[in-house]
Amino acid sequence: MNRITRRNFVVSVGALSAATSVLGWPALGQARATGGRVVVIGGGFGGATCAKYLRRLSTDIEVTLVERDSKFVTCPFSNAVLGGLYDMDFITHDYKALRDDYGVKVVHDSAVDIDPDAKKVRLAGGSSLQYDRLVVSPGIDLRWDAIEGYDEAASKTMPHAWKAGEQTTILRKQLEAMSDGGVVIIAPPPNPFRCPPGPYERASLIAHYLKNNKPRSKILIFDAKPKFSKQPLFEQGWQELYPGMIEWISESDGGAIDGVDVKAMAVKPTFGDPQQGDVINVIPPQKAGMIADVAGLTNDSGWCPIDQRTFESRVQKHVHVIGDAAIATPMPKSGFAASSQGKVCAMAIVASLSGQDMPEPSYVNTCYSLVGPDYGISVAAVYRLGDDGIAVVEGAGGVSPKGANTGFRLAESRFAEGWYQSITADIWG
Amino acid sequence: MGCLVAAQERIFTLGDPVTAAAQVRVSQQHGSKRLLTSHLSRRSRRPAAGWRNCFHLLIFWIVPFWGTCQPTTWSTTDINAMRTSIRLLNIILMIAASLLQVQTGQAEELSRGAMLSASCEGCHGTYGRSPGAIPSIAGKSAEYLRDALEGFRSGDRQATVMGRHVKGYSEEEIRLISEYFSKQQ
Repeated sequence: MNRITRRNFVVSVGALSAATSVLGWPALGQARATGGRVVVIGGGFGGATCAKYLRRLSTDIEVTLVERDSKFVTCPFSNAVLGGLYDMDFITHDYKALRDDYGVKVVHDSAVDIDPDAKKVRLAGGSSLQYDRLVVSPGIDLRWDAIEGYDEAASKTMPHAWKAGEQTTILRKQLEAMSDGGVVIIAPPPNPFRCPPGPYERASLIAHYLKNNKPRSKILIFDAKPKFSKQPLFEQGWQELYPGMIEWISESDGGAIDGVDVKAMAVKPTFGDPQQGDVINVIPPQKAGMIADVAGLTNDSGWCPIDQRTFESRVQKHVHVIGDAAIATPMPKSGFAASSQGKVCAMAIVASLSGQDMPEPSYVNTCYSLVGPDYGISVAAVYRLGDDGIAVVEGAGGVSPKGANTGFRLAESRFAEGWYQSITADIWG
Repeated sequence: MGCLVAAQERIFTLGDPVTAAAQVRVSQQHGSKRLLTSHLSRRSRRPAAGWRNCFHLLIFWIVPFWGTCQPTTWSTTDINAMRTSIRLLNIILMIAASLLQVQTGQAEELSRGAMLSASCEGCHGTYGRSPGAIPSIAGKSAEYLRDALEGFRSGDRQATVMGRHVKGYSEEEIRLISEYFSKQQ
């Protein structure tokens, strides 16, 4: 060791003092190295949340978000756009805050393949991204082979509008162009599918638009299911707000359709006569987004089996799947659930990369549906990890009370909008 | 000297001054309430001020005076004493840093409170700062938040959805959540 002079010592201490003054005394003691590269595929409710929360938890982790589009249009509140309550701008978000404020590297490209051995994601643009942990949040893809005659081309005439954006605009324009006295058909799929109450909120808000603009029109719901989410509440709301306008045909009454005729503008139920419509919204059965399938992360069900504590794939190590694509039963395939999973997954990854214990997971779902502009209903659930995976906390959650007064429904409609503003700010803001 | 040099290196590697400065700059430009960066910089500025004074006192007053009390040339005993004091200084720095809870690499705590509170942020906004009709809960006192949540549970406090949510959390969990949001702004 060199001879220490008093001068050297004082200089060193001075330098230390200066350095720490500049930095405001950053942690010397307990900050652990949490470096690592995380690639997130998909910038929707699950992926964007996960990317943001990873960076909130550790600025040492390099997070790259791969998202095809420069703007994200949310499915939540797209029904309100269809009903004419909001415009497309309200449900459109970008990645500026994630990039500028949180230091997420946003790459607008599509992931075409995953090499789990080399830990690489190949992009359509030709480049590859190396990862230590990969988060796959691809949402859903539609099963184009499930309903005879209903393929991607048919969806230009009979929009599904189950991925918001251009499809939402097509359906809205068709509703605007329809004449009074027209028939709107909505054909929801069997379970499981994205946003269980979505088709019925859609029927409600289209009814709101028709009541005010084309009051002689009707809505027929050809359902592949014997019952649906928040059913008593929706039916009560329809009775109060749109009496006689919405008819729900259950699977047992011939509601399930197995084909469409695009030229004749008709749906073909499994039994009974074809039904013609002026506007037809077919919501086909779904599966995990394509990249999950290509990377072999799905099982026979078309969805991705995961460890429900960390969301790590049961098939590939160091690959996590969150959101609609994951099998996270009993959590629904909702944007809010995907976001909750994104947070738990971010904590699992930071814990793993930094060698810390992961806190016991806590998951939540809160979904509002608008039956009318001043008529909101909600469903909530709190989840914990049980012996067999994610479990509902008994005694908590549930739907809005059935006999609530108009003040309660009005409050929930305002909270629905507040919910949307909060969650989208929590994700993209 | 080893300890001091190591300490300085750790400051520069862990502190990541470029990022920190950039974050502060961004937060100043945007001035937005929702920025992580403003949160980070506020976190590191506010509690640090008092402590920084303590360290300045230590470094500019105690250490130099301590130095003048020593002989002009350094014996082995002096060097050993110096090593001990440097180690002591390091320990003090570490304790102080952990008291400040400022983590640069790990920006926010990975804790049970954070996990539980993340559930609330979906509706109440990041850090409990809500942009819309749902009440903001950031910076409310822990007592207020705990009372409100317990009130929702008992039904004493009117709610639309909170009564359904709060039944999913134990008393201890409510305490952790209340404390978490009381620390946010």
